Amino acid sequence: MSLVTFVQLIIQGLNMGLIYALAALGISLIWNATSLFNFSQGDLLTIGGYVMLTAFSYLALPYPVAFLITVVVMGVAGYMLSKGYFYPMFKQNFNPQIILIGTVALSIFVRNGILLTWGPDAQTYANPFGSKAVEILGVNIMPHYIWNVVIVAVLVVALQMFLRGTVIGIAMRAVAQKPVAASLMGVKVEQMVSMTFLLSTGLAAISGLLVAPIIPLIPEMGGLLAIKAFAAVLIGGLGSFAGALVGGVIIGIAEVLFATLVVSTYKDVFIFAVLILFLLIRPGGIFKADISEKV
Amino acid sequence: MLKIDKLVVSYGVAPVLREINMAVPQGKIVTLLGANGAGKSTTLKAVSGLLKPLSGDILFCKESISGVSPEKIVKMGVSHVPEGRQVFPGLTVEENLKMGAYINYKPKMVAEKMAMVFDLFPRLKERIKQLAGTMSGGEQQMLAIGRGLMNDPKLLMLDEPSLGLAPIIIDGIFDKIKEINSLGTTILLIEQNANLALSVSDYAYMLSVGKIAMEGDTGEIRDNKNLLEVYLGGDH
Ligand SMILES: Nc1ncnc2c1ncn2[C@@H]1O[C@H](COP(=O)(O)OP(=O)(O)O)[C@@H](O)[C@H]1O
Ligand SMILES: [Mg+2]
Repeated sequence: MSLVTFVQLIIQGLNMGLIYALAALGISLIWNATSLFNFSQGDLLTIGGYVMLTAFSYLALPYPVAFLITVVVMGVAGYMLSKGYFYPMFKQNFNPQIILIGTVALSIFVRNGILLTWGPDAQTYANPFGSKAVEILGVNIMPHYIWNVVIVAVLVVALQMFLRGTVIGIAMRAVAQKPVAASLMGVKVEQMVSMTFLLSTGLAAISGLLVAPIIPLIPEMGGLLAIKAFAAVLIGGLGSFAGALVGGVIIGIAEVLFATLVVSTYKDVFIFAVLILFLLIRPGGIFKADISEKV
Repeated sequence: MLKIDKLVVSYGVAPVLREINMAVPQGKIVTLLGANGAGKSTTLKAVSGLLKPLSGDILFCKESISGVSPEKIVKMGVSHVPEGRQVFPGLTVEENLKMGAYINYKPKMVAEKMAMVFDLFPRLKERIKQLAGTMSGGEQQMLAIGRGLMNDPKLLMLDEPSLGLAPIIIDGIFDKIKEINSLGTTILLIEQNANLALSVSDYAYMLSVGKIAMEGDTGEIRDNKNLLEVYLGGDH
C-alpha cells in the first residue's frame, strides 16, 4: 500500500471517528450529569439523520438552514425527554437499572416510529459539499471530509467555550459534580440536567446528519453507531471530554484500517476486540476522568 | 432576622427535629451546639429549603420560608455553607465563587464581591485559577465561606466550619467569621466544638436528640460546664 493510500485511509477513519466522537461526547455529558446511560442515544442520532433528510432533501432547504433546524428540533426533543422521562425517574430515586431498561424500550419505540414515518428503504441525500475529490499534496480528499473536520472542530471549541465561559455552562458542570451544593447556590438541578440532554441529543443529531451522506439511512442504523460511540467513551475514559474525542478517533481509524488491510466483514468484531483489550489493560480508559476533566 | 417556631422535620417515620424554637437576631452570631446526630445539619437544611418541614414555621425577615424552594430562599439572602465544605472540586476557585453569585448574576457585582472575598481571604486570590479539589482542607473551607458570601447574604449559616481542620487553621477561620459578622452579616453557626463556638458567639442553643435542651447568652452556657459535658461529652 502506498503512503498516499494510507493517508487517505487515515483521513477517512478520522472522519468516521469524529462522527462517533460527537455521539460519545453526548454520552459522557449525560453520564456526568446523571450517572446514567441513554440506550436510545443511537436512535436519536438516526432521527437526526432523517430530520435532515426531510429538511434538506424533501423540503429542499439550504444546507445551513436544514442543519440548524435539525439541531434545534432534536435538542428540544432531548430536553423534553429529560423533562418527561429521565428527570422524574431520577428524582424519584428509581433504581438505575429500571431507568436504563426504560431507555432500551424507548429505543425500540423510536426505531419503529422511524420505520412508520420514513419507511424501511435505505435513503440518503446528495452530499452538500460535492463529490469531486480535491487534491492536496498529491492526496485526493473528498470535500465533505474536510468540512466534517471543520464542523466538528468548531463544535468542540464552541462547546468548551460554553461549558467554561458562561455561567450556565459552569452551573452545568457544578451540578455534575455536587448537585446538592449547586442547588444551595440557587441552581435548578432539573433545568441543568435537561440542558445536558438538550446538548447531548443535539450532538447525536449532528452525528446523524453528518453520517447520512456516508452511510445511507435505515431505521436501525443507530444501534451499531451507538455501540461504537459507547466503545469510544469507554476507551477514552467515561466522563472525559478529551477521552470522547480521542476514543472516537481511535475507533474510526482502527475500523477503516482493519476493513481495508484485513477483512471488512469482521470490522465490527475487531472494534469490540479493541475495546476488550483496552478494558483489560486500562479499565478506566485513556483519560481516566479525574475531577478536572469532568464536563 | 430568623425565627424558627415549633419546627418538626423528619426523613422517614420518626421526626429528627421535634418542635424546636430558635431565634437569630440581626447582627448577631448565634451558635447551635449539639453532639453528632443531634439534628444540627437537619435544622440548617430545613432553613435553606433542602428539606420540607412536617410542621412548624420558619420566618426570615418576618416572611415564612417553610417549604419554599432553595433558589427562592437563597435569593432572599440566606446562604448555607454546608457541612464538609462541598466546594465544586473540578471548578477553579474563581468558578466556584461565580457559582456563589449564580442566583443574581451581574458581572459588575460579581467582580466587586469577589474583590471583597479576596480581601478577606487573600489565599484564595493566589489560588484563583486552581481547581478547588486540589486545595487543602483549610483553603476549601475559606472557599466555601467565600462562595457563601458572593450573593451578599443577610444571614450566613455555617455548618461545622472547623470539621477536620488543624487547630491553627481553625483559629484563622474563626477570626474571619467574627470579621464577617462585624461587617454586618448575621451568622448562624453550627459546631460540636463548644469552646471554639462560644468564643465567637453572642447566644447559643444546645440541641440534644432533636430538642433544644438549653439556651442562653454565651457566658451563661459557658459557665454551665456540667451540662455542656452531659450534652456534648468529652472535655469542655
Ligand atoms: N438523609 C437522611 N436520611 C435519614 N436519616 C438521616 C439523614 N440525614 C440525617 N439523618 C438522621 O437524622 C439525625 C440528625 O442528623 P444531622 O442533622 O445530620 O445531625 P448533626 O448535624 O447534628 O450531626 C441523625 O440521627 C441522622 O442519622
Ligand atoms: Mg451535621
